[in-house]
Amino acid sequence: MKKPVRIIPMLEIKNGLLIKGINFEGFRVLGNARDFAQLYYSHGADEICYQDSVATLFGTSNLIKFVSETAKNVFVPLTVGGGIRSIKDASDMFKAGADKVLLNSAAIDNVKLLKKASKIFGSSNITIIIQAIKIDKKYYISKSNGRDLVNIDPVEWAQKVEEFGAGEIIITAINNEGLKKGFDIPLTKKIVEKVSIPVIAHGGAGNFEHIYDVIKNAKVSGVGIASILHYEAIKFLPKVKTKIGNTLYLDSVKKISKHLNTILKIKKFLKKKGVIIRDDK
Amino acid sequence: MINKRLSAGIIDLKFNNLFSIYKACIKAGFRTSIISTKQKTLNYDFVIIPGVGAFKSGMNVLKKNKYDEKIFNYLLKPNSFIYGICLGMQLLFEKSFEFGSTKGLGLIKGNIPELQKKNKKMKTNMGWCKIKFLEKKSKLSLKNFDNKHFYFVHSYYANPANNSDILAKTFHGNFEFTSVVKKNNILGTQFHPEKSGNLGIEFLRNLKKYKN
Repeated sequence: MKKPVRIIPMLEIKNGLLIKGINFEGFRVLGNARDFAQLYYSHGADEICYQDSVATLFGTSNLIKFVSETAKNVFVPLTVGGGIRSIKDASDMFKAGADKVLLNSAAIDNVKLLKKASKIFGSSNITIIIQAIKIDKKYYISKSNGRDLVNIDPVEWAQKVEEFGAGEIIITAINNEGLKKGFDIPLTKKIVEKVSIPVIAHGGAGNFEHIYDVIKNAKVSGVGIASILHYEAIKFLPKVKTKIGNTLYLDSVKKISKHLNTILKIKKFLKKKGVIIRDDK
Repeated sequence: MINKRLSAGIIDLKFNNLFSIYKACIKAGFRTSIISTKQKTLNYDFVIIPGVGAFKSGMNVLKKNKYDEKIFNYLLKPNSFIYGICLGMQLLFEKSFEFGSTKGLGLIKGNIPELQKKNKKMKTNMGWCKIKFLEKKSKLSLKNFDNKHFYFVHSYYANPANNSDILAKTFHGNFEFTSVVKKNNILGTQFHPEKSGNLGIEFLRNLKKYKN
């Protein structure tokens, strides 16, 4: 019996704020991450994923606080990543309420850490995020969302992390991320075919068709979605008061009073196309 | 009649998800506490054994803190009720084959084998799966959770010796395993209600209906 394809809101956070990186513009502040997380939970998200984009630089202590605040009211699996560099970091994250931790840079620097973590916490609680970049038809993996290129092929890396105990892989196509032009289906498909652990596609969802395409063609276990959800949710979530980051965009958003459940809409759309999803009441 | 809030005590197995189950029990309306190792007797309407992790270390924690004896004594009390979640459910059985063979609490007859080894893809069951209640048990009040998705993460499964202890089953690929067990005042689910969304919270809220 097939499992439903998981719809996973991806929240990029900084100091507990939900942000969205836009080329040449820096970071847009969209609101309080936990407001979004809770909204998506109530809308039927199958899992929530937090990625702290600055924790690699500034440590995880802030992130831990926001994770435990979020976990109070979110009763689906919560995956958390960003700045996790040791067994202790991971352990702290689990204690704060994370169900799975995301590793990227730390696993690239020292793949043995992955092996150790999966032994201690169980494979199924360790997810590897692969940030793949394509330059002149050649693929690389990267650290810090593409800032540091590493000359390893993403498909080979996927096989290696499975061997070292990863329980799941999120494949982020950096080139596609935020562009809303669809996922990198060929790359994602190749990884799905080469590993036997679940693979989540992320980066590029611009409309519901894109989500369906990657499920149908790459046979992924889940889809990570950001922009499509955030830019709808922002219209009715409370406005955040902050002095950090660029809030110009927030000021321009026209507020509406009606709650739009984009996750449910996506699931209904997929169901109509024959995809198995979870929509229990 | 006074509508007294029911109490739930959670055993601390020193693993990851204590916080989640604690919050979920509060959300479900229980007066919730973490059972301290110093407590000599357990006085709760429900005692919950949560758990993520390995059988052997789970059992070691139970024994080290004399939780096993406390549980046996608790179960002798009228109106007691034990609920094991995931590893917590597996610990209720006689023995597990995780890393050799380890004895469990032996409250339910049966053992804990590994999910099919033959197929690599079947090694771990992670994700949302439907639970199907067995026909004969349809009288039970939790039937409204029949055919609904709950969240599972496990590599071992419960194999009860007596069919009468099986309440519901679940498919992992083509393989069907027991996902809910019940024997007298003992209940166990392989899934995590604290990770199963609103339906999981509802499941916890309805625990009292399982008492009879």
